[in-house]
Amino acid sequence: MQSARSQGLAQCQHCHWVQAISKTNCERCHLTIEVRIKHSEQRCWAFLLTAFVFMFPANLLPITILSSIGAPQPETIISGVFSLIDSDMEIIAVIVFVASIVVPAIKIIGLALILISLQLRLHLNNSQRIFIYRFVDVIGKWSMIDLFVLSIMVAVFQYNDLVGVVAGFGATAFTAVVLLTIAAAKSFDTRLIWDKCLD
Amino acid sequence: MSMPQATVSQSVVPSRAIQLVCPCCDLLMQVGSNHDHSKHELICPRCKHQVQAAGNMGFTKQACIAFSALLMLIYANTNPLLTFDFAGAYNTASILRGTLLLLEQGFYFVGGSVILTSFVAPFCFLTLIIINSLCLLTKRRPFWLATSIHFQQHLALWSMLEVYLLGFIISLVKLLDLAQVNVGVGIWCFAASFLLSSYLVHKISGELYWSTYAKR
Repeated sequence: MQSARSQGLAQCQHCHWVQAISKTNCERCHLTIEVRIKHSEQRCWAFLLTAFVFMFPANLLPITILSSIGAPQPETIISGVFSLIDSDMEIIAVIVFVASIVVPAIKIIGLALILISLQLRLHLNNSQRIFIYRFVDVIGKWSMIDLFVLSIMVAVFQYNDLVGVVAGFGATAFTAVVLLTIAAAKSFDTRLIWDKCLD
Repeated sequence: MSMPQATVSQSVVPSRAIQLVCPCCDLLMQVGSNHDHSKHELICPRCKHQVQAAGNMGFTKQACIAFSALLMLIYANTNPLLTFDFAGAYNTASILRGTLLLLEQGFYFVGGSVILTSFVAPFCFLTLIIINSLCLLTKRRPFWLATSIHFQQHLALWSMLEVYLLGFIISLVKLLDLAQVNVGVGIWCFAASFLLSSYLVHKISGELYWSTYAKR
């Protein structure tokens, strides 16, 4: 099995036209050709490490602040999950827990595993690497659920005098985690898996 | 289930064969010139990536579906998703109102991300389908058309209508525990917009856009 690059060919990442590797602009769409995403591994590591740092404020600081007649009640992601369990909404609690805590953690661990296995030539075959990457890529956007729920709740209680919902700083950190992990997945060039380790 | 038609490239490429490269693993493949990509999807034999999707929806049909989805999306964003009767107070919630309130509270990053993924990305995606399809149908080729087709393909990734729908269901279950909730017409339009745009994402052939673009 031969890669296009080894045959002196390159594919335009925009229109997928195959042409000589020496071309800088595509013959078909005239946009700039990038044979591989530049500094793909470094960019992926940078996004991942930043996302990892933001995981701490995202999980430790309140994501919502519920203001009722008493004192304001700050709620972190995990305390929100526990209050859902207390309200007998176990299924919703599981969805929120998986989307907000498990999915971001899996994304960071999965991408880090691929990068480490490529750089240290660990015993992982390419099918396993691409399976992990595709899984991370597919689940990536589902972490946004908590932010959408927050925006709906803020809108619902906007004119209510008894209960008010405002966002906490944890929401900003959580948004950063979600977007940074999506950016990390998109900046990783999957062709590097076969460039580095030909099974 | 259509079968993969690609074979792994040999060193000499026979005549009347088209060279293709898997964008996922860079494998060089060749398919016969008689391969009909409207009927058969093309799967990479090495990494199992879908190199070409089956389907060849015409530009007129694409533009019509995109226009319907766009109207539904605009209606869904400006009308209430739900109405909620709590402690004698009558509340409504719409998508745009929710994100604007987040911006008003000073959470520009959170509000900006929510509005980007629930409105701006799907809105631009559908608008670009209409513009690009009409340009290709009427054989016009403005200088920005290639960039516009490129953005159309990438914006689909940032459209998160299905995630928003699940978020809405979670909010609905939480609110049902507190008081009487009535689902507004906005959410039905939102669901219709999601179904139509998902259909477009799965049926649109990027190859058709680029080959039509290159023909003229």
